[in-house]
Amino acid sequence: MAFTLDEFYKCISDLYDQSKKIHDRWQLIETSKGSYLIYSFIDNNCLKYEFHIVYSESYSVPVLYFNISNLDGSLLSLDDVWKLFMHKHTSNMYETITQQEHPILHRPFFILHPCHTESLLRKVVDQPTKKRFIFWLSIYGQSVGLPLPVNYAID
Amino acid sequence: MTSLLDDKEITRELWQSHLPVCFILSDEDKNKINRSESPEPLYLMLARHSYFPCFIEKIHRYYCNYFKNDPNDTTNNMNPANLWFEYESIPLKWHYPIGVLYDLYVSSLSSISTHVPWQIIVHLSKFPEGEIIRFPDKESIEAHFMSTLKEADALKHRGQIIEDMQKRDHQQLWNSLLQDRYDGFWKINNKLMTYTDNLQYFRYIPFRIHILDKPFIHKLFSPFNVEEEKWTTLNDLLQFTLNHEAHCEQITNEKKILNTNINDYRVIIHGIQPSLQSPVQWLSEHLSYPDNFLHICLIEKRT
Repeated sequence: MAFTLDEFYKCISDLYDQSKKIHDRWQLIETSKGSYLIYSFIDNNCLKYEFHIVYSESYSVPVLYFNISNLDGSLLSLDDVWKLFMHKHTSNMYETITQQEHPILHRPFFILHPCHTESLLRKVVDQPTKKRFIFWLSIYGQSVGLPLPVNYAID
Repeated sequence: MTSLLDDKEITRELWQSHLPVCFILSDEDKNKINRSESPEPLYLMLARHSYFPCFIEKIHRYYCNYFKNDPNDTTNNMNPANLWFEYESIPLKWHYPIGVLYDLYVSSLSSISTHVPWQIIVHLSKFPEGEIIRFPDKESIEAHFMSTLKEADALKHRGQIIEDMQKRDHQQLWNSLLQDRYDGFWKINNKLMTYTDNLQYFRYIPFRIHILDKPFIHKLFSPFNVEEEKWTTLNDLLQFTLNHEAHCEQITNEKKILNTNINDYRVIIHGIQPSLQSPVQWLSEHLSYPDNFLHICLIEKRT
């Protein structure tokens, strides 16, 4: 249902290899605190997006962290981020995106909260690990503007 | 592990622990005041388990008085969202409980023999957004607290207890914390201190080890050693975690490897130094903060 740490490392390593093949721009970062993926780009409105995929040992799932900054380096506020991605303000805004400490960099990052990831992954419980990871990434990533070419879903 | 009824009193004693804090306006912000008098420091007694962001409004309101009737009225810049705290040039990571920040920073940095009141510098501008999480309102602090609680429950019970709770139980946990109501909090929190999956202990212990100038350390650690059929201790947890951390640093060629000798540290939880032979299951039930984490501060002894 969830991911082991080894499964996570295999998934991000595979994604990184695929990214190189199709000349995409994922980076694989290896640290003493663990390995994680980074993807960044500047959109048409001159906003710089930075996405990190990090493993959560507590939840045994991948977690999507991100920050969005203006070109002067200042970060978008939580309210700005909600306006960008949430089509209507609801009462559980705080249950979807909040600001938290990045577990490896220990700087503030926005996070799509992982406590529902396991129930999401139950929908694809019988799929191979790699497909489950891409499924998770496509659902979570698209909700916050992460572009994901179809190449990653094709073996 | 069966706790004596009297052990529950420890949780009440910890709940009642407070710290005297003295808030002093930064020199930079003082220079913006045209009145002849400097603002008096603000003294507050704060619960160790509470969070600084809960007091932003109160502290901001206090210092705002000194900026009223200013001919160069800078009302537009007077925004509570820009308020932040500093101790010994360190922006305080105020998403941790106040007691944790005190244990870590004052024990590590203070050179004076008397540590009270804790003197903290208040800044009203230049929020260091690359270092500190913003809490624009009370709901954001609650959300952060609840997400930490959910993580603790994910470790202890695979998230089952918190998921089965009703929304009003979540609200009671937070409101009781805000309003300093021990009985209201523990009526709900007792459920989070139970066991699941036919175990007589938690699956894993929610803990964070805080060391100055290092990111906090967290590993998966079980309170019971099944092979040796014995409870694991605080010493076991620390040795396992420090060894693992140092090993990871070695294989990635870090410049400075973590010191793994526990005797070189003072081990502080809630301002006290528990015996290293304490079972971690007991510590987790009794010495956790309201977010259900054991926040363990390792302070290097001065040589």
